[in-house]
Amino acid sequence: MKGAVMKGAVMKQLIQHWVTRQAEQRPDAAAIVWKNVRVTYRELEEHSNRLAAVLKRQGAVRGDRIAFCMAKSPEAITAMLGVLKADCMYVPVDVECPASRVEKILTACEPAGVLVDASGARLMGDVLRSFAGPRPFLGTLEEMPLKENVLATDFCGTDIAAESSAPHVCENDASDGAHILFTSGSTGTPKGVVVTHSSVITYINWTLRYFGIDETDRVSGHAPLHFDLSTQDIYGAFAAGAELHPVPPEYNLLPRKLAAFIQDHRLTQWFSVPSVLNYLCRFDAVPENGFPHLRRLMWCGEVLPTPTLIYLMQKLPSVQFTNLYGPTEATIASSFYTVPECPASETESIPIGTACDGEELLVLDEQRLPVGPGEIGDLYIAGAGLSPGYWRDPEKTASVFLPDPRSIEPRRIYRTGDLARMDEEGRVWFLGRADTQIKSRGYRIELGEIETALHAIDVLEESAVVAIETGGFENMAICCAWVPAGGADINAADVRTRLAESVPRYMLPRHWLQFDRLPKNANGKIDRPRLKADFREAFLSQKSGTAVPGAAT
Amino acid sequence: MSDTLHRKIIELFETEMNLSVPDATTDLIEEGLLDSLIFVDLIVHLETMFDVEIPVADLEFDQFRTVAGIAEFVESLDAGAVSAKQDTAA
Repeated sequence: MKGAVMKGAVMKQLIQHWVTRQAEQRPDAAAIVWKNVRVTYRELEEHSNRLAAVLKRQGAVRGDRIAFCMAKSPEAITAMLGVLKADCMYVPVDVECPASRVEKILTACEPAGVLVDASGARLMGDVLRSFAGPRPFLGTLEEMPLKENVLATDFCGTDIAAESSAPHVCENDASDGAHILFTSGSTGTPKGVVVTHSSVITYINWTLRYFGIDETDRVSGHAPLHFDLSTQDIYGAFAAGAELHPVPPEYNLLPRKLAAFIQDHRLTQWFSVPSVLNYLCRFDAVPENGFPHLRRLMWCGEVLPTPTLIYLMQKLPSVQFTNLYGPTEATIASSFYTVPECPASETESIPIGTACDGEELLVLDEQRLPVGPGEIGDLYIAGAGLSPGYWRDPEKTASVFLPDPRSIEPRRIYRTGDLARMDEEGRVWFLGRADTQIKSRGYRIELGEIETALHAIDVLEESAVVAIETGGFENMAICCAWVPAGGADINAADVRTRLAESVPRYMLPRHWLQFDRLPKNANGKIDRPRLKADFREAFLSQKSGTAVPGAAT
Repeated sequence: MSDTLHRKIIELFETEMNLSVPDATTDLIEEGLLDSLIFVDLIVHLETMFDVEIPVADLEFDQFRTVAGIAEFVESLDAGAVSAKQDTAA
């Protein structure tokens, strides 16, 4: 009867069931290829079933949150699936996240349990030792319990291996949350975006149809696991029965190694933020007619500079190039544009395109009425991808998830904070931000979050953060203007070290300028345009570190 | 000799990139001190400081893992040029 129970579960369609289906149909096919390890669909299915059994034994029940602080690895992906099979939501925590931020995330999501590996164990141990909330259970997929300087784990890999690999009957519905992803919040507290099974399913099914992804594909896993692009890599691969090839993070340092990875793994699909592509371009790391297996290349997260696009399209003439656009709040991506031919000029811009199936893009004015073709307005998203909102934060949720002004049904629209226009063909063009949120290397960053953290540093008298466009591969460079408190003998490296204790590495300013006092405008407010001009003058135009991509070729 | 070079590179991290590197054996990748942005800056600064050309195509992770590794790598590139620069700086 086990088979019947499982069929019932599969028919319910939750995102973990893609793996279950592959394990039934093609058990020995590789699901994940990582360094020298090949994890088959059967292994992935059975291992995650065992983990789910342990989680339930530890007391996890439907709807509980389980945080995991693990480096990118097959084990981390097994952890995600195991959590889902226990009817819980996973909360990825970056192993490089500062402890104070991890604490905020745990306080917000109140996890029933936390999973760690060797690289996340010390961080989580430090946070949990002084954690004020209810104490979660702590487990690891590593074979042996972790070393002494870490809190005692409640279970380890040996305990997981002793469990049954039988499938679980899931109580969750597709409308339940599958995971919570924390993004930058302007007041210094990260916001937890709840992502449901159904929104992931809708999006992934569209990608399989549109791109024709199938079991012959070998797809990249470039994005870190706490970043929502990884949801497409992982579940897109599993839904298609393809191989997922996670990219070890250190490859980001050496563009030639990254190119060799694409070549050696015979990848058929590459998906990343534009900064990685700019990096490959800047070092001219893509071989002429290289990557013979590559079928498609997608990017998302921010604007890809056209010179980089031209470079790639000339080097890789048989590859399909698609721009994807969308915030985490609307699940991975909401619109797409496949570039029909290599742009004729480096100044041509690329639209974010038209809505994916089940989604809708709206360009509205301040009264939330549609603007005419070509007119600038605020970009809103409606449809199947919309998150139910921010985790336990109805106020923030209500401020951006709004009732749809057009319909009687309780439909909602999400205000992206992006400015856009729609052309006569219905294609949407991104025109910038309506607030101080920026994108750097694909990361969403609220400058206010960095300022809040700086204001808490006692050796600073004054500080301000601005962003300038560099034309380099990182797009926007974060700049910090600072004034030391009276008598403080400190340099920018000291301030940076202090700041790194409370914000993630990708939020750390790249450029620093020390002032005796910050420039003010007539109202006594910090003169940010003036600061931007100062930073531009001090840091742009002189060194090759900020050269325009494509200039090298 | 190599101690001087270590100090110079640690100083370069501090003054040019605003990064405090505890010592020459700190694992820069593991400690999260080196990312792609800083890496590009580092190459530019090393090339300027030591008047060498860094063959980006052939780099290995381990050559940049520690300040000691960077020093050894820079020395291997052009021992003559590095020591000449150091002499004039001293």
